[in-house]
Amino acid sequence: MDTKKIKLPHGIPGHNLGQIEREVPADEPPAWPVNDELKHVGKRVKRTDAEAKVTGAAKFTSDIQLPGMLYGRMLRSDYPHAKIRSIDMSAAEKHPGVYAVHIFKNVVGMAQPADDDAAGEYPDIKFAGQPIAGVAALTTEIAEEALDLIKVDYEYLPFVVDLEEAQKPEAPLVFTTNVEQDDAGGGGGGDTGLKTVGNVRGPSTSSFYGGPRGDLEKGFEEADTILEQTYRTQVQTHCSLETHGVVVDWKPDNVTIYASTQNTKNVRDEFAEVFDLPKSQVRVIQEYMGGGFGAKHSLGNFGVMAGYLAKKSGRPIKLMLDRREEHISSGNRPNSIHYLKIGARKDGKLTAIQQRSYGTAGVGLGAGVGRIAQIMYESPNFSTEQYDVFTHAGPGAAWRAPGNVQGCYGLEQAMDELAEKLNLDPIALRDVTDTSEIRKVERHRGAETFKWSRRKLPASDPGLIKKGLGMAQSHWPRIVHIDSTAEVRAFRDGAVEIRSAVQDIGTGTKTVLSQVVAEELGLKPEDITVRIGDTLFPDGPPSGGSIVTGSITPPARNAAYKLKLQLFDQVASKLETDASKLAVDDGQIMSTEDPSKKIAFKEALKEMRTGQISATASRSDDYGGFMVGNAIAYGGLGSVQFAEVSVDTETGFVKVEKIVAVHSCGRPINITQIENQINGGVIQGLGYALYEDRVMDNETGHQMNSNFDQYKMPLSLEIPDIEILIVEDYSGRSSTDAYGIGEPANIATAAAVANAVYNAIGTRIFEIPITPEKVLRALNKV
Amino acid sequence: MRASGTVIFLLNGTACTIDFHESTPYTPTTTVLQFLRSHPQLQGTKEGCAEGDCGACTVVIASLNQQSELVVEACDSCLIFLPMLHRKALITVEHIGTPEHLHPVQKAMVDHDGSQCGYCTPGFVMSLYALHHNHPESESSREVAEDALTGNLCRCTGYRSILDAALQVHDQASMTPNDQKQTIQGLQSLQSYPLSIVSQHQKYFQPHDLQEAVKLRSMYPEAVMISGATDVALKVTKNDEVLEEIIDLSSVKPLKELKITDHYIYLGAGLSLEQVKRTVEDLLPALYETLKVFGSLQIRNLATIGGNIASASPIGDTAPILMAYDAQVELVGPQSTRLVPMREFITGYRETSMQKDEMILGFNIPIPNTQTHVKWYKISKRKDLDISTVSGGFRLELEQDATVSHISLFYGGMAAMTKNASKTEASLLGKPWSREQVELSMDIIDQDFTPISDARAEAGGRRIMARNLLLKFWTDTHA
Ligand SMILES: Cc1cc2nc3c(=O)[nH]c(=O)nc-3n(C[C@H](O)[C@H](O)[C@H](O)COP(=O)(O)OP(=O)(O)OC[C@H]3O[C@@H](n4cnc5c(N)ncnc54)[C@H](O)[C@@H]3O)c2cc1C
Ligand code: FES
Ligand code: FES
Repeated sequence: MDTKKIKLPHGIPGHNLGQIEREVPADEPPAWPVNDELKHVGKRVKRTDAEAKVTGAAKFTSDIQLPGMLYGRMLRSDYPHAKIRSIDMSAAEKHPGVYAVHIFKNVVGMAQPADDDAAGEYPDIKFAGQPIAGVAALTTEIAEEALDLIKVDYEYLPFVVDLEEAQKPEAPLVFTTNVEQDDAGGGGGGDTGLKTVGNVRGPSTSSFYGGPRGDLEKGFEEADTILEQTYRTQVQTHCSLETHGVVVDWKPDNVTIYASTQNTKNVRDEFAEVFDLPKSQVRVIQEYMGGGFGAKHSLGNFGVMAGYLAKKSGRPIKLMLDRREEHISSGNRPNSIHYLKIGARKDGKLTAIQQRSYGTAGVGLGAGVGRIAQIMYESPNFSTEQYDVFTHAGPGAAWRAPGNVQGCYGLEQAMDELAEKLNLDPIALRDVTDTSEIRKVERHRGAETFKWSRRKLPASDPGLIKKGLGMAQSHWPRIVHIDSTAEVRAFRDGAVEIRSAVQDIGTGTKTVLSQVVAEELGLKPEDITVRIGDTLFPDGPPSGGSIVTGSITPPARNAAYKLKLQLFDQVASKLETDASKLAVDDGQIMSTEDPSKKIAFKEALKEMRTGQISATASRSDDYGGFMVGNAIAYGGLGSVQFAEVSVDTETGFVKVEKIVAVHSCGRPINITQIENQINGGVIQGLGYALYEDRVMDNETGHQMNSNFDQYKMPLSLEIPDIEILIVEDYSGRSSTDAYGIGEPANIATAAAVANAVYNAIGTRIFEIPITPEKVLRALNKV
Repeated sequence: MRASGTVIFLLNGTACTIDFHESTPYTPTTTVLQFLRSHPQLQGTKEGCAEGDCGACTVVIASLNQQSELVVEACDSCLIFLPMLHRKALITVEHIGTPEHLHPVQKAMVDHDGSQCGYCTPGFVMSLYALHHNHPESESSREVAEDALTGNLCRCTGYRSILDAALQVHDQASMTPNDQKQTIQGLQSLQSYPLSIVSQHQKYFQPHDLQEAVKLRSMYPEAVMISGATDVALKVTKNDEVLEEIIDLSSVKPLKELKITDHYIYLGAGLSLEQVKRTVEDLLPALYETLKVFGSLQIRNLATIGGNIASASPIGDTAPILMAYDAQVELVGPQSTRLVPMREFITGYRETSMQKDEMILGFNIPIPNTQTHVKWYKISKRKDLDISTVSGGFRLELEQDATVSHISLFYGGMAAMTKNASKTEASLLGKPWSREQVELSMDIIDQDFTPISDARAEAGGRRIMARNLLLKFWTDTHA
């Protein structure tokens, strides 16, 4: 491969900004300077689809209506654990208005026996809410009437829904053999090949950052102080405002699926596999979708059911979950019991970290505590053991920094406790143990903005309402999805388009793409039409793991760059210059040597030999290569968050007064949208810290609060003053050097709030959510 | 005035009729949200929960009050039955602006990046529309804006950008004077008649005068009465109940009466909680505090004080405080009206002393003298739009020497019904109102209640909360 050497910005402006020379493929575009010198990238650009959203014109999956469309509904088990002896669909099938019925032969989205042991005719029921069968009818009401007519003969079995009960030897078993899950979405513990004993699977001991390090025993011997503590987190449910759902339109030669998804490519591939169709005959469209946060990567049982019903009825099928189904079956953030033992020397240097965790993703895998303890602090001796515990409850799913949010809640409180034991300021302790340059800058810029120095000793506020300050920090890897492709087209009538199957789930991908293409072509973002969310276009990355911006903006820029070169070739002779001497700026193509030789970009398009030109580019490998495989880039996305709370010691009510969130995401592309993401991430973290909690009924195995009435999320009144600092952090690894922000925004909040609550009342609450009840208990404990 | 079965209302400015006698796809308990979602061109209004907790379905309803002034309110369309639109104007997100001609509140949302996924956005836009209509000066304070938005859930943005949009200065009210004139004329042009809908499975009556309402109540003793329907609608949308007979009291004028004398406030049962809230701020501050954090604005615009008391929920918020104020309930039946002390009105879990042929006409609330302390407390996870875990409506009168001459401690969430802590009260009566005494009495609360554990809190937690509310009451009232 031909290569060339280019110099790219490297480092943190205002701190250590410099340049780095890297050898890159010869067809890569030249390096962009820092954002200050760019026109559209790094600026506050209006969201491209804002007008459609504020006027109600934006069409979501739940709004799709096709001629002849039927409505699908699914029958779900009311029992958490049962075998099905028989299912009688005859009455449902005959119900007037019903056009098709279907019984599941297997269900997806949960762990599956590694060696398929004598499976019965129907899948065993393993959680209340597991789908069994479905019907398609003229209206939702008729479909629901038909569901009532289905007769299922169950053999009821004992069940367990509680994380600790499930670990006891006498607990009813969820699985009787070892299990695996391809699409384990929950987080840490989804390794393959692990053994299951009772309901406990694991431990998972390694990650892409490697396995155990050093010698724990020795490490603890060398310590001056040892902290040993257990932290608990709850199950949180995603509560996307639009529930999961699809519309499947099965035509003889192709199937079109409108899906509320964050992964068009994956939905297409899964559908093609289930129905044994060529991928090219399956088209997935996601124009707008109402939130996913990690739970909407898959086709899901609802998508499979809609497919069967469409195939059987010959009519388009719409199948949207209702709010209750969404809570109980479509994913959640697994809970955790997180044990940490940390040894430290007097100066704060860590000598050993030992971590053990148990969590339940219900019938799914992935209830770990992530990799923050492994990577964020320097400790020569380290080990982690992360166990999945199975319960008869709905499966977990990925959610913003899977595992790491649970892990950070524990680790960052442990660091706070350790600092106190060592008589060090929490920031000073981290300055000693954390080698990340970006987090160091973030800590100190944040501390200044937050006025960290006003922090007092725990519980030193004399009044009944006590104030407290706390901070926490996090790490998230830079993940790249190299199967990410963008096409840029220009038309003779002046239109410029970018196309990719990548989807915008509200993160602002459309806007970011328009900025990058506009920057490269010397146009304005509003000149660029963004067509994405359709698998007719080249495959894009999934919207998860904060992958999208780092994966799709380099190909978008590179495709635009290639297209620009094509256009230069076409106009060079007309401008009596060499194509290599041409550049773009402000809607013009001009010679760099003689600015009078120029033509408007749009005029140049009119003169093209053909009606349109097009260029396509895929994600190049990172400049200088990846740290791990083809996906994990060097460096990480650091974040530091500060929280100020006031705690009413009489009602136990915790109010978060202020958050300072300091974040980096490589080269920031759209400041407004990044701030919007951080605000949203912080507020989800606040819900996690204070309100949200899936409550299971041990008697029935049902979720007691599968609604918005009792499952509480923050509303606008709870919103603290949030101040956001974005730190540019150039690493020179791709043509845009940009990364995402979705996950980092959410990781540290709960820990920062918990540390602030401790600082306020002087008693630590080791379990979230920190409800008035827990605060009052903690205060009356003495 | 002859009753008719045809519902008539303005749908985005145009008169629209629904006749349930014909083979419409709608029933009298079809919600406005279901109605809108069935029209492809009106799908900007979204469903997030179908139970009043997310505001994705927010629409604006405009109507004329008794003074023929235009009243513009944001409401959750998932809780409104279609016939409740009778003679009102329904305004949806599609009506107020287009991508090319944005309404000022839409423009503000664009300018401040008020959306991520955008699913909640139409609901927020309609809340903002009502906010700016009612507060056109709207450099509106952050407090007013927050209050207007508490009924809208957004899982993506964290609200900051939306609050900023709400505070964007407008020199323009939501409705231009011409819009307003047209809406008023449109509403006036709608024929006025009581509704009497008899559909295949349901009967729905919307009488205009009290005698008619009382007569219907006697004729259909099993009928469900509705005022705001925020409680009753959930039976239909969540529990799939078919309500066979419904008497809709929302158009009965005497139920909206409001009288203030030197010593009493009289609140008609049909006054919305938002109307009550605005009325009582100075005179009954503890009731005002209750209503400030009651549900959300969208709920308070619909929900009535009569409905809240009649539903007799153990965690209903107005019962403890009306008891603390020693209010009287005025009931009307076929023969006469009668007064029942609020403290005796609720008799059990969702049970009252109201007879089968009676309904609540209103509440007589004595205005306490300045020496009397009345306070209301609520413990819930979230500040707003959250049902109480434990609440308290307390009243205290002290002698010159600071001994307790009267104390009432009404608790919600501690028993199957709103109940006073009688043993605790007795332990305080005649005693000094001191921290020592209060701490002694706090131990007695356990003898008064055996609370339950549920998704909101455990029994033990409730006990601690009940104790601490008493301590808080002392903190707020001792000299
Ligand atoms: C999202 C949401 C939030 C809520 N938040 C709160 C809260 O914070 N605090 C709280 O206490 N409640 C809350 N509620 C409950 C509910 O809104 C209230 O109970 C409300 O006040 C009921 O009033 P309504 O007019 O809507 O009653 P309706 O639903 O119309 O009626 C409720 C009951 O009262 C009866 N009734 C109505 N009017 C009369 C009358 N004039 N005479 C006799 N009987 C009558 C009806 O027959 C029915 O049994 C909430 C509800 C929702 C959906
Ligand atoms: S749909 Fe949630 S409030 Fe109406
Ligand atoms: S923008 Fe997604 S719910 Fe508000």
